[in-house]
Amino acid sequence: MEEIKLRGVAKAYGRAPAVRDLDLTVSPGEFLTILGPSGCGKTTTLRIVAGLEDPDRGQVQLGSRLVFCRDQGILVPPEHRQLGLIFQSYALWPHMTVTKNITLALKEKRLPADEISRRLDDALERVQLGSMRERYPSELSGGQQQRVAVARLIALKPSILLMDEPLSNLDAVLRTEMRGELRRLHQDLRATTIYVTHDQVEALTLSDTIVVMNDGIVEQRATPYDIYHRPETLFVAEFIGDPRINRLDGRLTGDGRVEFGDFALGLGRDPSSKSGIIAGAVRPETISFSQSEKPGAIRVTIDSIQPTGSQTILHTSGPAGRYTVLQSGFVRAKPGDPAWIAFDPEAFNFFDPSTGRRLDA
Amino acid sequence: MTTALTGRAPLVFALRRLGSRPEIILGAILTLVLGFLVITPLAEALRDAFTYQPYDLAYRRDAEVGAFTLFHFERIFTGQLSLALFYRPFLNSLIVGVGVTAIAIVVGTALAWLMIRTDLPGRSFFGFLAVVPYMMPSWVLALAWLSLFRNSRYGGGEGMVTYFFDIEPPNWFSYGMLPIVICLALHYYAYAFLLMGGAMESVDSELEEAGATSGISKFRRLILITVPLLLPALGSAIVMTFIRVLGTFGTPALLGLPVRFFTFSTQIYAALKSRNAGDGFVLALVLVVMAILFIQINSRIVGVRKSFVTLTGKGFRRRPVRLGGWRWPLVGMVSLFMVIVVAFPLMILAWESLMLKANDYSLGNLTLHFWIGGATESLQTGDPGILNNPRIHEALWNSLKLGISASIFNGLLGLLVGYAIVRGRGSLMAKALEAISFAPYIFPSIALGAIYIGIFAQSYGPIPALYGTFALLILITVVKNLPFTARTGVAAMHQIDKSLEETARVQGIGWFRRMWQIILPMSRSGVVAGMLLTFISAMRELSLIVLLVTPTTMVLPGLIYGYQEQNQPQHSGAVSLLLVIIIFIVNGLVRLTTGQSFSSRKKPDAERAERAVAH
Repeated sequence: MEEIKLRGVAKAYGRAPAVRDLDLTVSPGEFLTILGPSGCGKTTTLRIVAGLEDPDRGQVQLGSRLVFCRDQGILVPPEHRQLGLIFQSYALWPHMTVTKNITLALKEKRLPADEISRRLDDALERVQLGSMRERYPSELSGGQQQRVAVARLIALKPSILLMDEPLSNLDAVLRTEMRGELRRLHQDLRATTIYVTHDQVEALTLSDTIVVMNDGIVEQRATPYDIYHRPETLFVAEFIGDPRINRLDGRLTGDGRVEFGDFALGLGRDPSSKSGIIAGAVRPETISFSQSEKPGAIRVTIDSIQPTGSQTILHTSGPAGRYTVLQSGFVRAKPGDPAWIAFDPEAFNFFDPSTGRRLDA
Repeated sequence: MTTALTGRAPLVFALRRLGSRPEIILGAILTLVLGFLVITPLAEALRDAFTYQPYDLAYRRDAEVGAFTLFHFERIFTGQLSLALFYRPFLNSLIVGVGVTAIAIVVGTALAWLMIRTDLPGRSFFGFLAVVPYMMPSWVLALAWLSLFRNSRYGGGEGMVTYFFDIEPPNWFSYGMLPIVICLALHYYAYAFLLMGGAMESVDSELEEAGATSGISKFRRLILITVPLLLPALGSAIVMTFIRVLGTFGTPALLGLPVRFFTFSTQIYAALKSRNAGDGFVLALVLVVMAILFIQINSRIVGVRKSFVTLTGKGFRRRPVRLGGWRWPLVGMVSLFMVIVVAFPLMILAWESLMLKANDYSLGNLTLHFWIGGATESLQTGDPGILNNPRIHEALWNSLKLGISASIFNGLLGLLVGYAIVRGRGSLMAKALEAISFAPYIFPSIALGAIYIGIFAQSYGPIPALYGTFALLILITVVKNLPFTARTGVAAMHQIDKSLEETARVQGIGWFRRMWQIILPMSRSGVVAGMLLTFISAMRELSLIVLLVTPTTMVLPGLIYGYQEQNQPQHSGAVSLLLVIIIFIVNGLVRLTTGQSFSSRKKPDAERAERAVAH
């Protein structure tokens, strides 16, 4: 188990910066996910760790080894960094059988033959592909190909594991199955893992730690729970969560209350903002919903209803704002029906709308 | 880290970084080497053209060899001899070039249309036959023409027509412009066929059907819709044919020299053979300039419309045009054409090779002497039949050596150039390498040969004097075929996703092992295609090497030309046939073992290479 440490890493393509001044530490054995929209710099970061891209500035350290530092003239090429990497495309060599795909790197390392065959058997057994040894990748299904890529890493036993959107080529059912597979790979190898994805569900289900990146910088690094419940920035709040978080613009009254268009909240705390303008964000599932009038609740009109069976997404509008509500159960209603919603002040996160940063009481 | 190290750190870092980018190192080496092989000869030729050469002392006693002069230019462009040296050959080359290109394009395009877009019976078989001339030397037709229409006024005695019908064809029909244009056109149509066929395969017939539904007639549809879509390919085919015709030597020499009809290529040959290198280089440079101008003009006309190429794609329907009542007459015409172009010349050569006495076409005169006979004083200066003839065996061995070694070098080079260009995409180095590997394309073959004589006659830089060595033949063949193999290499590399190599890299596999285990096996079919292309062109090429061969490095095409010059039609016929048979066999073998070939319609990788370069 090795630690991964990036310090002050920056990389630009031409004039467009991909990663700006990135500091990132992954503890030994940790499963860390870098999550962000496309073009946020997450894949570049991963490739910098792998050595497939050279940063313009900064240091990269794997375990006790400094593998990149321009000022000290240090650059360890990827073939000597001893890590494992899974690509989105699986990157199986199409002209080699499953066996050859798994054993090539071991043979090139000149491991003894019995060691190689032991690792091969072990790896194939773990991904349950024992009967597919002599197949070519084109003769395997997408899920099986993915498992060969996993087996290749199991056999190689790297202490650092990098995964670049490994599930995005799979259909929904397989994706769920493979998620478990990858988590197990991590546990089996007990490798320090960086996992790159744009899919928040993958990030939330798999990770010990999530790093949300946007525009080349880290927006927040936290546990899945905190990323979801205590977003550090407006970007993180809006990026995580499906359906999307409700963003409400309000004004601080100065006496511990916030006024939004349709209602006011008594906070009992004072998230100060100089201008008095404040952005509130509240998850759809924290809003209580009723189809009959409730005291203190705000009357809204239902715009659309999207039942998914166990829960229902409702888009509603009040006199001065629109609210998305996630209600458990199958709500029976039709557009135009009235409804009553109420907010829990504790469920709110507040942000400074000009900086996008979290405001705490 | 110590401070001493920090001082050197930037250098150490730069070196390590370079060390981790094998494509940059490779690209830089290739750019330097190829740049040397392509650009220095041109520079040297320029220098020789602008300085006095030893030969010039005959005209200018006071001249100093190596001093700057415009003497060659004056002589060629304005001197007393300029009409014979420059203007007439220039005009002849231009007329031959334009004439051949026009006919070849029309014939090739028409055939391509019939094979690909219609319901012509037997079209896949005809499609196979149509590219056969590609595998034959371009001057086979000229030999056949001479056998048929020779007249007795210029050496070699009467041909078949005179023998059988007792009609002596007039000079203008037997030699010179007309037969040159016809013979070349009937060979070079195959190139237009390949290029246009490829383009037609990728035009969606729905576009034409859209025209049909708006009530446009069949003919107008062809003119208004199909032709404009094919324009880029047409432009490429025109440029390619024209440059090749400019540089071709065999046919104009065989059919032109007896009546002192000179084109640029034969004029360059004459100048260099009489050791008048300066004049030869000026002419070669004019040829290069003509080729460049032609490319420019063409890309001006067609270039604007290049965007049409993006219309092509895969997975569309193509509905064959119904020929109706024209079907069988067209089958007859195409068959006849194939017989004239492919079967007939080979049959005539075979016949020539079987005659005991030249010019006697009676059945009683047939013999296998020139195939299996020994040395008989009374027969053709005692040259033994080809199976017992050490000269021929040596030339055959040389040809095979040339073909095999050039194709191995080229295959490897194509792969490495492709790798450096694709992996280094976007870098200045990749652009330079791409330009350099394309450059030999614009040198007409004879001009490149002439320029290579100039530079490698003495030792030059790190390279020893190569004139008269076999290495020079290999070198020029490799350079001339570089554009094709480089493009096949690039195309092959584009097929290999970067991640396949990166995965290996991250798993700890070094560069050489990656090339060996991943890149080479995956690009095999492209490499083989490039090698086959080089092999065929090395075996049949005369124009490129005619100036460079010496008796010890003689190859089959050179030998055939020699036999024809010395009036030994039996030998030239037999050796030509042998050459064609060998090319067919190798092509067949390669096709059998790898599924690659010119004539296979399934995997036309080498054809794609031709096309790729032309685009």
